[in-house]
Formats: sequence, structure tokens, C-alpha cells
Amino acid sequence: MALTMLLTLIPVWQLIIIPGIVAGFFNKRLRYAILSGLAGVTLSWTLYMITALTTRNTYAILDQVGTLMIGPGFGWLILLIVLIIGLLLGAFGGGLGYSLSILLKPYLVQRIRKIK
Amino acid sequence: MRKEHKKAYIELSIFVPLTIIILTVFSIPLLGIPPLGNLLIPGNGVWNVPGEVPTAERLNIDSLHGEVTVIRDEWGVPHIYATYEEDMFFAQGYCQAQDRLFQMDMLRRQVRGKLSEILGEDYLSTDKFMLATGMETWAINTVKILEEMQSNGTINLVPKIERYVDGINYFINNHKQQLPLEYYLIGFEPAEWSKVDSMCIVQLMAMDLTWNYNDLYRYQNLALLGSANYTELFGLPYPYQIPICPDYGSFGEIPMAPGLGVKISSKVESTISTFMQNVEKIDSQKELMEEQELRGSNNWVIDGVKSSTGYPILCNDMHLSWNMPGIWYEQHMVAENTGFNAYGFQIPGMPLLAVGHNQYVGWGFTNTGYDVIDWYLFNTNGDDGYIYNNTPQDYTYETYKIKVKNQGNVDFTVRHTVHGPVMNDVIGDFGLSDAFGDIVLSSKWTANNYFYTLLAANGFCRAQNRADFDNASQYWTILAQNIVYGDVYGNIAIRPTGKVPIRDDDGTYGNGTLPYNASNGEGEWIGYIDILNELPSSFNPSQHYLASANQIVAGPGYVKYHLQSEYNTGYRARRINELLNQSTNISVEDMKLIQNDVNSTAAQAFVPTLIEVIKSEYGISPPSLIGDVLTELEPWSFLMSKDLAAPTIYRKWRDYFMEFTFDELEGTRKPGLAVLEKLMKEEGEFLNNWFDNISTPAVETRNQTMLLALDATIDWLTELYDSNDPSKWKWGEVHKVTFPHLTGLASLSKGPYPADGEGNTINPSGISLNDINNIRYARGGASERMILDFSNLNQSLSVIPSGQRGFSNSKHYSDQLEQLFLLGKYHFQYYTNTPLNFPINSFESAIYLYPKGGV
Repeated sequence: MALTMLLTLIPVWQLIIIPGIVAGFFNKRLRYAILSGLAGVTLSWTLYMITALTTRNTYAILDQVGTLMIGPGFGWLILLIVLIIGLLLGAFGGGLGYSLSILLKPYLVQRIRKIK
Repeated sequence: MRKEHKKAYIELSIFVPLTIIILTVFSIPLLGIPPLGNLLIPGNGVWNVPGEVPTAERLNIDSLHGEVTVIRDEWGVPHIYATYEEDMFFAQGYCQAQDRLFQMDMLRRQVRGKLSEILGEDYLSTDKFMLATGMETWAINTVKILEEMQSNGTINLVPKIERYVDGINYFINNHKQQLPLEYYLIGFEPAEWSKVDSMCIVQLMAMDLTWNYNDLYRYQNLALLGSANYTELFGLPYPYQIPICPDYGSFGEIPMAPGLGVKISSKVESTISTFMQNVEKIDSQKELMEEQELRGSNNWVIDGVKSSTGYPILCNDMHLSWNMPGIWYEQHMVAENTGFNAYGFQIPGMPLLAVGHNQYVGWGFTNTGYDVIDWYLFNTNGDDGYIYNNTPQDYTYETYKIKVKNQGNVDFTVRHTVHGPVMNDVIGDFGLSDAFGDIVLSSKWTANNYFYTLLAANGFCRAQNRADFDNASQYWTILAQNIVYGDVYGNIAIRPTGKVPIRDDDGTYGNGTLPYNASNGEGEWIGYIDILNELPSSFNPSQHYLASANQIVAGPGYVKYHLQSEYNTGYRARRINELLNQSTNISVEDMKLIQNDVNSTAAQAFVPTLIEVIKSEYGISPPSLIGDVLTELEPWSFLMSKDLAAPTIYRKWRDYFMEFTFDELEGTRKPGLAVLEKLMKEEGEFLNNWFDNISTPAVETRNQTMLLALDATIDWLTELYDSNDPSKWKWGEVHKVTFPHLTGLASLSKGPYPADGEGNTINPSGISLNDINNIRYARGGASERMILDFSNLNQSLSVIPSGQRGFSNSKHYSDQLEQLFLLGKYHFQYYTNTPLNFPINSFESAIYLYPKGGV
């Protein structure tokens, strides 16, 4: 979550896949990996959104963008779509992290043993 | 391979493509929308748009000489208090960029032919046209000459402009991730600002206020009507004018001007028609032509004899297109080291103030309508030359590179004659050049020259008396304006100012009202009228007030030079004069009522005659629907109120009366409303029976045409309102005001709002009822309102029809529009307050700017 929050400060939004991968990497089951990636990104984005909506009147802008793309009064839908994207990217990141951990673990264990 | 590895590979083969798909879809532009990820993902785009300025901001800046405090009041107006003047200009640039960066960017891009760079090929025609007019070239030239003048000690202005530019660039460079929404929507970033950019905005205003095609329209009318009939409808002066400067007599007994000796050529007529048809296809020019119908302004000043305070009160409302954000930005600028202390309005992107006041004097503008552009026709001489004054000449060429989004650069070459750019080349590049045959059309415009507008503004802001102000006025050249003036010493004045050409034409060729045949050497400009000594003006007149509303500048006593070829029909001027002339003891509160007045002098001129005609035709028992219409019209006091039906009936009837009377002019420009009033009131005094419908064998009279117009009005309104009850035809249902966003995006626009008024009321708002399925709401009117009370400048008031900030999620995006302007209200200027005694309830935020190493 902290990593996700940190990455909202960087204008390369694609990096948001990284926290999911990290969360997934340290889980032992795929289901939990997906859930932790999903929860991490979604919760941190929700917190970020609440802060922005209450301090910067960002909802007015989302509503204007919603009007442009869909129709009047659809700011909430934009918000929802963004959250779903976060949810998906978190979940996929988690899945990716888990799969990578399975593939990389033997190699990493070997490396750690060598170092020891 | 282990089983779990196999499973992991399968999982990867699912997650990797899905992730790539989402990342790709949100990383590429789709359907003209920039990448959605950049726009919507937290930490990017919309999430970084700051609604408001920080409540307290501290900046340490190397280049500052001393401290600056910027206090924003409850309307977001910055009050800049600087120790040193150059720092004050830095803060002005910073504040303007902080509130209006996107607007500033678009203004400069319009002039510099850079719209297609961000908006694509659709804007290429606009870019070419704007470059061809030479505006950017003269902005560049003017910066060069100002720098020369600065280096040889003639002026002391350039460092101030440079500090202003530094302030803008400091903001741009330090807020690259906190841009207005429009940057994310369009997908570009602001480039650094330059002095030339600011000068380009002066040029853009010159185009807005003085560039026109009137000469060409008039030629079409002359060709259609012949000299005698043309003179009857379009001859000067227009009827019922009350001159701005009262010292040159009135027009009571002056007949219309005699006919012209200009010869009509069908080839020229065809060239002009083709040119005009194609100019109207260029978006920016079409908008300009529509705006010109709205263009106007009011200003007036009363002296201590007429005011309730014993001191002058000055009012100004400049009428321009309405946009979100509005064209004007309010600011208060104070510098301790020079005593600079001015409050007023400026177009974002320009330093200093355009209108406003300091502690001694105040001023406001209306457009003069001086004829400062001429159109010249040349016979061509092969591909490379033309005939000028019966002598072959070669064109000169200027080539521009225009960047087009997704296309790279497009080369664009403009040919120039001795008088200016060949404007039908611009059209020609669109594949229409064959239509022009062997004639080229070239424009000569006073804005194609060096201009010293900022020198004038600098002088206005510092003037301590009338002499100082006059001295500055002579530099106010390319934006010809009626400058109304008042001061704390009790003086009032008006000076219609501008660079007006003197033509080598005694009227034989139209005196600048028609295009000239330059191949014969007609219409040479042989000099410019001396602004201070030869243009009309008035100072402390015996009538104790001065008023301008774009009407004729001077009465028949001014015979020196031809000044105006087009000016307003004069209804607003008649109403202002009526109100000021009859009154004494006028207060600031009265001035608010006058600025918001919606009593239509035009309706007052027409409706009583219509009622008289209805009664004489139908006696005491008219047909029921006409009787119902009469019931609405008879008690009406000519207030264009949104809750009444009479304004709707009057307005649509007036449109039909105009259309039926001037059916000869279908497809060309019609004369002004005051000409129709004169024809109506003085029926039978003219060469032609204009009231006759030329498509019928019968000869219609004035009364018949008026009643035919009424019948058509009833049919039209019955259909529009789906009701044959005239009491339900409320004006507010068709008369609405709307404030479109600069880009036209509906979700960032405001309105439409039902409103009082019409194009001819002091509080103006012109709609078009031409198309029953597409009523064009009012998109222009007062772009600011200002009332200056010289007995106590702290009581001075102002308002703009938007808000200070161009950020659509800011409370200052439309607060003045919704809470003040539409309700006829104003806000105080807090002119005499300082950071130490700024009213706490009005304090909203502060920026503290310190030199590096400062406290």
C-alpha cells in the first residue's frame, strides 16, 4: 500500500503494476497473491481519491470529464472505472508476482545459500 | 519441468497479456482523446489539477530584489504589494499564469499560427489566415524596436515586461505537473512565455476590435443598389446619432451624404463575393464576424455637479464575446519604491493594466469604430507581379512553417503587395485560387506597424493628472478606443484615440468606405491624424457628463478628416444620454442601475408606431390573436424583461419588418436598425419605396409591410411556443445568455441562463431568432463592469462575467458570474487596503515571495 501511495507521486502511472507484483511475490498462494495486490492498490487509491476529492474539488473535474466522455452526471462512473482499473492492475500484478516468485524462488534460494 | 513451474508459466501466460492489454489501452490515444491513463489514473492528469491556490504559499526566488506579498480577496483577485516595482511585475506574471495559463497559451497560439500544432489539421486554415495578417511579424518587430528604444534610453519599459515574463515562466517551470485540465485533455504542455507572446495578444485585440470586411460588404451593396439607393441606406452619417464629443454640434438638420462616384465592376464584385464566401469558411473569421455584431461597449463619466458625491463617477463596461474563463483578469498592483498603485483589468498574457484607476485618475474604453483598414484590388501582372499605380511591381514573399499535429511541418508562403498581404492567397491555398482570375485583394491595416500600447498602459497606470494621461494616450494607437477619463480633482474628459489614416481621397472613391483600385493608385495613405491635436475630444463639457456607446465620435462641426465608416446604430447612446441628461445627484447605486438597464430605446422607437398602425387598420375590434398581441404591447414600458411576452413579440416583429422592408438585399448586409426607424418615421421622403415587396405585383405601403410582419411573427411564435396565447411567449424562454468554454467543451461551459435585455439595451445581449430550430443564444455582452467613485476610490466596484480562475474545479471559475454578474451585483476593490489592514473576512490566501536568503 505504501509503495502504491509512493508511486502516485511519480507521473509514470504504468509503474502501478509494481506494488501488485511485490505483494504477490511474498504470498504463498495465488488466491492470496491476487487479493493482496488487488487490496493494496484499491485501498491506497481509495485513500488517495478521498483526499483529492475532499481537498481539491477533483470530483468537479471528474464530472466534467464524465460529461465529455459519457454524458452529464457521470463523474461517479469515471471514478468507478478508475477504481476497477486499479483493482485489475493490482490483481494482475499480484498474479504476476506470485508466478514470478514460483519461477525465481529456486534460483534465489540458491543465491542466498551461496552468499551464506 | 516441475509441475508448479509449469503452472506458473500458464499463469504468466494469462496475467502478462492481460496486464499488457490494460497498460496499452490506457497508454495510447483513442478516438482523439489523449491516453486515458495520463488523464485519469491517480497521481496523473485530473488528480493533479489544483482547484484553488494554496492558502499560504512561500516562494524564495533568486531574482527578486525585495519582498512581495500577494493577497487574494474573497473573489480570488490578487492584490500585489511589492517593495520594488520590478518584483511587482514578476508577481503579476506569476498570478496571471497561476490562474489563467491555458487561456494565455491559446491566445498566443491563435496569433502565432500554432493551433494546428496541438489541435490538428482542422485548424490549419485559421493558422494560415492569422499568419498572413502579419500580426506575429509586427509583434516581433515591435519587441525589437522597444528593445532598441530601451537601450538608447528613450523609454524605460522593457525590464518591466521582462520581469513580468519571468514571473510567468517561473510558474510554468515549477508547476509542470499541476496544469489546468485542458492541457491533459488535449495532451500538450505549455512552452515558455516570451515578450513576443505578450505583444501577440495586443495584436489579437487589434484584430478583434478593428479588423473587418465592411468595405467589401459595402461594395456588394453598392453593386446591388446603385449609387443613389445605396447612399439612402448606407450613406453617412447614420440617423439619430448623438455624438460622443458634444463640442462639434449635433446632427439634427443634416441631410444624408450625397452619392458616390465609384464605378462598379462585375469582375471585382465576383472577386469580392468569392473571397467573402471563402473567408466565412475559416472558423476564426466566422467567429470574428459573429462577434462584430456584439462588439461595442459603454462608458460614461459625470462630474461633481451631476454626482451625489461632488466628485466624478466613471463607469465602463466593454462588450466582447463571453467565454469561460472571461477575457479580463482583475488585479491590484502596488510598488512602494515608485508609488505605483493601480487597480483594474488586463487580458491575461499582458503586463500592466488596460482599464482601471490609480490614486489620481481612472479610465475606461469603448471601441471607436475608426476606419483603420482598407482593402485594395490589384490587377495581376503574370505570376510574380501586379500593377500598382499603373506600374508593374513584383511581389515580396514571406514563408512560414506551420507544425501540424500528427503531420509534421507545412510550408506556407504569403505574397505581399506594397499595401500588405495578398489575402485571397490564403483562400487560394485551399484550392480555390482559380476563382479569383487576374485580380488580387490586399489589406492595409494600422496594426501592421510598430505599436506602443504597453507604453500607453504604463503611462495610464502612473498618470497623476490629465496632462500625464493625455501624454500617454498618444501611444494608444492600434486599439482605437474612446477613452473616458475622470480624476480626483473633479475633471472629466473623453478622447477617441487611435491611429487613423489620412487617405488621398476627397470622397470620390468612398473615403475608405469601399475597396480601392490600387492599380490606378487610388486610396493612398498619406499620413496619420495627430492623436492629441487633430482628433476630436472633450474636456469638462458644460453638460457635466460624457458618454460613449460606439456611436459617431463628433458632430458636423468636425470636418477635418473622415474618421468612421461604421458605427453603432446609437440606441444605447440614446438611452445613456437620456438617463444622464435628465438626472442630477447621481450616486454609485444609480450607476449600477444604469449599467444594468434593459429599457430598449429601439423598442420605444418602433412599438408605438406599430400599435398605431394596428389600431388604424383594425379599429376597436381587431382579430382575436392580434387583439391579444395588442394586450401585451400596449401597457409595455419597453423593458426587455425575461418575464414578459411583449419583448418577444417586438423582437421577432422587428426582424420580419427588417427582412420584408429590405427584401432587395437578401444575401447581403442590411442597413442598421436606425435607418429602418428613419424610413418608418419619414415614409414618403425617400427615393425608393423600400417597403414594397419586390416579389409581388402590388406596391406595398409601410403599414401593409408592418402588418404582414406582424402576421408572420404571430405564426412563427405560435409554432415556436406551441401556443397561440401571446401571454405565454415569455422573452426569457428564447433570450438566454451563454458562456462557452474557450475550447467549446460543453461540460466546461456555463449557461444558458434566461436573461433580461437585448442587443440595443445598455446591458446588452444579442440573440438570433433566424432559425426556429436553432435559436442562437447571446454569447457576448458586458465583459466587465467597473464603477469608479472619485470621492472615495475604496468604494469603487467591479465585476466580470466568469471568475478569476480558469480552473474549472475552482470556486473562482464562475463565482462572479453566478453570484454577482447575472444578478446585476458588484464586488468592492479594496483599493486602499494594505497587507496590514486587509479585511479579515475578505482575505482568502496569500503568497509571500522572498529573495533567496530572505526571511
